[in-house]
Amino acid sequence: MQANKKIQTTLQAVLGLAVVVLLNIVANSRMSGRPLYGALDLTEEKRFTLTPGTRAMLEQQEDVVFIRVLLAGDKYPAGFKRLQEATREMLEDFRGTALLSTNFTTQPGTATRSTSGGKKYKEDGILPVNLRVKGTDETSITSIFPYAIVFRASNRRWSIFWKTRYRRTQRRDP
Amino acid sequence: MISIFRKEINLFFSSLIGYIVVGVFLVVLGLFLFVFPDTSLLSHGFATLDPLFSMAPTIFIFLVPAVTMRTFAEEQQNGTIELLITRPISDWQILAGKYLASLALVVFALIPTVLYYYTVYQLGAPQGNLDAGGILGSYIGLFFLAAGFVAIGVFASAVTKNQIVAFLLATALSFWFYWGFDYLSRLPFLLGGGDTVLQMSGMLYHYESLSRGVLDSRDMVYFVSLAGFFLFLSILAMERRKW
Repeated sequence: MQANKKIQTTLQAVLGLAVVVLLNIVANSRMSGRPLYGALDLTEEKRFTLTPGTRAMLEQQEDVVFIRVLLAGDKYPAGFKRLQEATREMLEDFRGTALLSTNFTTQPGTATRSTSGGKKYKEDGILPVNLRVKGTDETSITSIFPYAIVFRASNRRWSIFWKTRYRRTQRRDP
Repeated sequence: MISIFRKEINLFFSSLIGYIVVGVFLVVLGLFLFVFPDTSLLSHGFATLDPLFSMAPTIFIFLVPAVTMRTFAEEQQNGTIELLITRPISDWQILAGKYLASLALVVFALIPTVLYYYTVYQLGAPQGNLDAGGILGSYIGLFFLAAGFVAIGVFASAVTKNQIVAFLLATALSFWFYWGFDYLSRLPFLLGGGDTVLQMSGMLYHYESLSRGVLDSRDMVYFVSLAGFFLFLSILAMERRKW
């Protein structure tokens, strides 16, 4: 009798945990491209919300804008994964108001193990930043390109995800 | 439920517990925010209350278990739990009364910190140069965090008769849920494989998100479901005595 009760309680606890996990998965997901989550920005300058000006600009956009984000792949520390997710979510939100096509690509040189891609980016002025990655055996330093490259009509523009001592954005006509 | 809530609140303030909890919280925060030079708001260079919101969770990890440790453990130790359960109220009502009373005490401890807001507001140059909306969002984040810690504390108290054990268990669980998942995610072999999920399982990730002043439904769902889960476990622990 007591053993049955113990099993029943354990099962109830496991079921409760499963419900919590499921609830959080649903709360973090999207349905037909629309997020099931929302946010209320209480900051005075609405730092984490699109301004009406940006929204209007996105809505007036007639050409398709193509954004290539150099953040695909799994072998990043959690901080980069979060940046990857946040960027993906933001672009999904943008897509709701503008003609937008996005593409997450691997870092130049990482997929093919060649550095020719990296060289091409460097020639264009897209400079890498060094990232210290702690592995199981050793700590290594790897160069990454935390950039998004925006293509619109005949223009191309690129932007780094955080401030560095280099210029933040540069413009170059193809 | 309301009578249990009232009884618990009266008990907090008729003994020294309530005053000590609120007093210790404010004194420790005050020392860190206005006296110790490394963390002082006065030497911060600009008007902000960020140190308050980064320090408060650490104090909560020790303070909340001190509030909650007696909720059920004391009743079980004194045998008064038997009297309580013979009353015509359900386990959920008993639990809700005790949980809300403990949460209310933690909120009481937070209310005087509005004085810190007023101080920084007055000292800002120009006066009032402070993001009130962002601070309100951070307070709401702190409330959700407290709701999670209190639920953990009540659960720890429901599983044991010993208040010291309840305190230690609640502190360990709170520490684990706040920092443990984050520390675990930094293990090198988890790089790129599970570290993000682990970070998202911890309170720190969601608290940091709320502390920005953005009320994200995902963070609120996390805290509410975590608190709900520990309250559900508390009910299971309460039912155990009927076997």
